[in-house]
Amino acid sequence: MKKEFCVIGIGRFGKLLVENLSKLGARVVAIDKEEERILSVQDMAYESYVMDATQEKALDTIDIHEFEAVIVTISGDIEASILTCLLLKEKGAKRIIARARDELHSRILDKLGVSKTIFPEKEMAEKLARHLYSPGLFEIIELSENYVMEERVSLPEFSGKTLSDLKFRTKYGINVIAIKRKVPEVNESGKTILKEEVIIGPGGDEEIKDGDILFVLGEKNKVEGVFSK
Amino acid sequence: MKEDLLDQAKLMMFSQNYREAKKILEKLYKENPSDPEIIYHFALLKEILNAREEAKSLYKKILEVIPEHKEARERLKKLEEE
Repeated sequence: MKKEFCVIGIGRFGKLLVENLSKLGARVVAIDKEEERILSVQDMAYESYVMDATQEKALDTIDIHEFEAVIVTISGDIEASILTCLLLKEKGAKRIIARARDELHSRILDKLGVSKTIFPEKEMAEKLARHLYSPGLFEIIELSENYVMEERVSLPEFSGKTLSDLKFRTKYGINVIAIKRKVPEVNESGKTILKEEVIIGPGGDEEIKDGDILFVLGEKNKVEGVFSK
Repeated sequence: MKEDLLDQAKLMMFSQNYREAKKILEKLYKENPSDPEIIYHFALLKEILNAREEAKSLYKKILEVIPEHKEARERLKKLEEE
């Protein structure tokens, strides 16, 4: 069975969420009190309702407890956000993920028993700042508070050396779990083109080439230490 | 002479000796800044080396002169999507 999610609040962030979850094949129910916003996601959402989620009777028309997660993206109107989360909790929502405007809002949501609070703008700003500060950084996936998986452009001093030579694990405490590179090849018309190669779980004899992108796994500060020299 | 050097640069690229390929292509590009074949290979090398913005502007330079350059158009499109 497809995973089902409910998104409450179809602003810019909510709309993107509906769009992306639907693209991944999930069934998404979209709720907003503004008809215009609901119309904008009608083609993407599995079901969509014009409804005020702060009204208990309105929420009773939906089986909230059946969703994998309910995501509350309302953050401008803190009162509406809190009321909605409170009602969702009372109606037995399995998992509530709520967008918070600031720390205080987040703390209130925590007290209500919300599973996770998110700050998309803050997280995006932090990511952008890190990207601008480290231009060789493409993508970060935070696995926990201290562990990350990052996509990093290899450093010139690594080129021509094998993973065994570089001893990432013993010397730096990080693991290279994949390498992505572009290599030239000739197409049927005899023209030079580029092909993308991804080496998953590279062996110790794998040689690093100029321009390689390394997928590294490790503690945040150790990864940063290696690539910000 | 120019063709021989370009062949040598290609050989270096295919043997993944990018530093040597870069030296040759930099020289060739400096001496022949409007040669589409040289610009194209220089752009490919820049892309391999993750100098994306430089690669993009070189592909654009080729397309200004030869708008029907299929490979340059494809590479530029791909880079813009990444």
